[in-house]
Amino acid sequence: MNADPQTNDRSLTGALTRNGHWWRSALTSGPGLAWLTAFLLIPLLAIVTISFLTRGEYGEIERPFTFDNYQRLLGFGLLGFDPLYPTILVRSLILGLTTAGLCLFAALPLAFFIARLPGGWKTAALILVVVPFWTNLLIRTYAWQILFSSESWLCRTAQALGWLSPGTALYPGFLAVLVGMVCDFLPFMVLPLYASVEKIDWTLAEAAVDLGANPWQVFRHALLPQIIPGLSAGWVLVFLPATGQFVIPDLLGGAKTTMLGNLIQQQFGPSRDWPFGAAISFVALLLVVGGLWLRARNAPEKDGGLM
Amino acid sequence: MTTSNQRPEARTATEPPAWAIEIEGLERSYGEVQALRQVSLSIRKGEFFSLLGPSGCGKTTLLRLIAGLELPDAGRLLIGGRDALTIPAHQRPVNTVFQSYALFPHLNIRDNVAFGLKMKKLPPTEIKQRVDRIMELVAIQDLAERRPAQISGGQKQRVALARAVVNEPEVLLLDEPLGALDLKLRKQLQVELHQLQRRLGITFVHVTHDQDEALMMSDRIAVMKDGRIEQLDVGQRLYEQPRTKFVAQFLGSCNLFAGPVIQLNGSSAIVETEVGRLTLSFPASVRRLTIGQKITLALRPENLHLAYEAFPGCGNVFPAKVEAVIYGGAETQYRLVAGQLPLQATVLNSRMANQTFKEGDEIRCAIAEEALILLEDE
Repeated sequence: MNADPQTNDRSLTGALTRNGHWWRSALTSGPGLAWLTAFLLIPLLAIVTISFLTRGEYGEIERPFTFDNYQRLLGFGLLGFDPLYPTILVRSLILGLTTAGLCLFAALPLAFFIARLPGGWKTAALILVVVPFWTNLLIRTYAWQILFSSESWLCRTAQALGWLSPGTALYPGFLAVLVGMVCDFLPFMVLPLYASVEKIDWTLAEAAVDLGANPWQVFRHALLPQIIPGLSAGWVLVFLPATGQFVIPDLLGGAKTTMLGNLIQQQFGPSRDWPFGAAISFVALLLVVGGLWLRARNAPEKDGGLM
Repeated sequence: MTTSNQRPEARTATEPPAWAIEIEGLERSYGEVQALRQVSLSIRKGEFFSLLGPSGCGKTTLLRLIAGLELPDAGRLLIGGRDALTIPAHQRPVNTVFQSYALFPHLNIRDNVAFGLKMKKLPPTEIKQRVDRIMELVAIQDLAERRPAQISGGQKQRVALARAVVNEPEVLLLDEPLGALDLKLRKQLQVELHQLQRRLGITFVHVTHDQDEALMMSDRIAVMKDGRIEQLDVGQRLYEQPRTKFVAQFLGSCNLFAGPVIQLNGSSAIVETEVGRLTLSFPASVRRLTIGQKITLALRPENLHLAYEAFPGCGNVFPAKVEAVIYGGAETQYRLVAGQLPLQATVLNSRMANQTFKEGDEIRCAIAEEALILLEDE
């Protein structure tokens, strides 16, 4: 039997502490802990506190403590049920899920393709995946606006082919938003997936074939379990920011729809309703943490948590 | 393999084919490297067949072609009388025990063993029955809930075997199945593997570079070299009558003598070698020799007899000097030199043994005429 590495680890830490070297770990992890406490934990507690307070007449944060902000977010305001805020929440989640789903759909074959390229081409392909990052997000998004407008060559071609009714454009619209989102987030899915695909033990695929697995079964039972770590890392990296993203939906969707991101921004900005903004932020955070927790709980113990 | 997978035309044949595998002119290259050159062989049903050779001889390639994990450039491959090259790997009635075992790390042992049956979507009760039976057969029933990372190498080997055998393949392919194990465990599993094969009656095709393993387990052995089959025979014949120098040296060790034939009398010949004239007797079926032809003779070390004094009534006697004595328990190995030619001899250390020799001794060697093996030219 193999010794459990965790027990070894624990006894090592134990030995260090017994020998009076605890200050070593304090010294090494201290700065990080201090940073996180000062700039993450305290602000987070402040947000939670503020979310239970009341907006004053001029936007001050006042007592009494109340659950009003959360009630409002769930749609139960002064005037009875109003689905405005729940809709925004759901809409943002749908955008996040769709973006992450499309990115996964596009990134999976790409990751396998890159991983099977010969040495030098691999690096070239990975650089190409990252290249769009060298251009500012706004510039890329405005470029999509131009490309999707009714007078662009793209739309003209689509009109000529009969895919688009004459004179109409793709921008603004949901399709344009999705294209912009996927282009922006694709590398975050490709890179962790690629890292996992690169490490695949292909003899397991051969073993599965040998045991009678058809191509889909080979992927499902021999390859997928091996790339779960990269897949969930990519999913988290895309889904979370995509849910909060509002620049691309604004610019490509025509600023008609409010997303979670601009709702929060409105509360802290123009509306000066910090308590409500804090409540939205906290609920968004809970949703995300809840999702991660569910994933961690359902993942096989070997995966080792989030990544 | 279930009968439903067998084609009706194969079933209508009057009697089932006696061959589990028939291979004709199989070729495979990787770029410039020719891994298999015109390989032809047939493997009997229920046979324990070994492919033996040094690394890079093409034995693993041949196994992978049978499994369908690779396709040949040319040639024919029949499994159970059916053309296998048109059958994709996952539908072939063969299963493989991989060298690295290739157990699924995310599944426990029971699910690993059940994998093939689950892929075929058999009813759960049947899967459970068959998995239970096989796990008991190879004595891994206690490991059912463990993960592959939690069991030892020998146990992994059994799981890999169970995972393949549970599918009841027509042919089981074993790619150096014992290669990663230590010597003692290997010896034990060799015996178990052999017994299991006899019990199941499945055709085993076993790839190995270990000549002892091949000799101990196999019904027949194909010795491979440079993508070709050098010789195919039962183990005893391969050892006692190797056709080429390569086979003689790969299976066990041997002494080599070379020289021209100077006299021929029916089924015996006299050869002028480095150690003097040697008389060789050979069966009439062996190829014809001519006077003056240069030939090579092989001699197993246990057939080189040593003595201080002359051997009465024996023709092939020559002097030699003991260079080294290597005591090995059951036997002693002697390194000798006769003239310029280094030789080795193995003497069994039984109580009946007549003599032992010391380093530096001047002794005499004798060879029985029938013990000399006539090798083919390379």
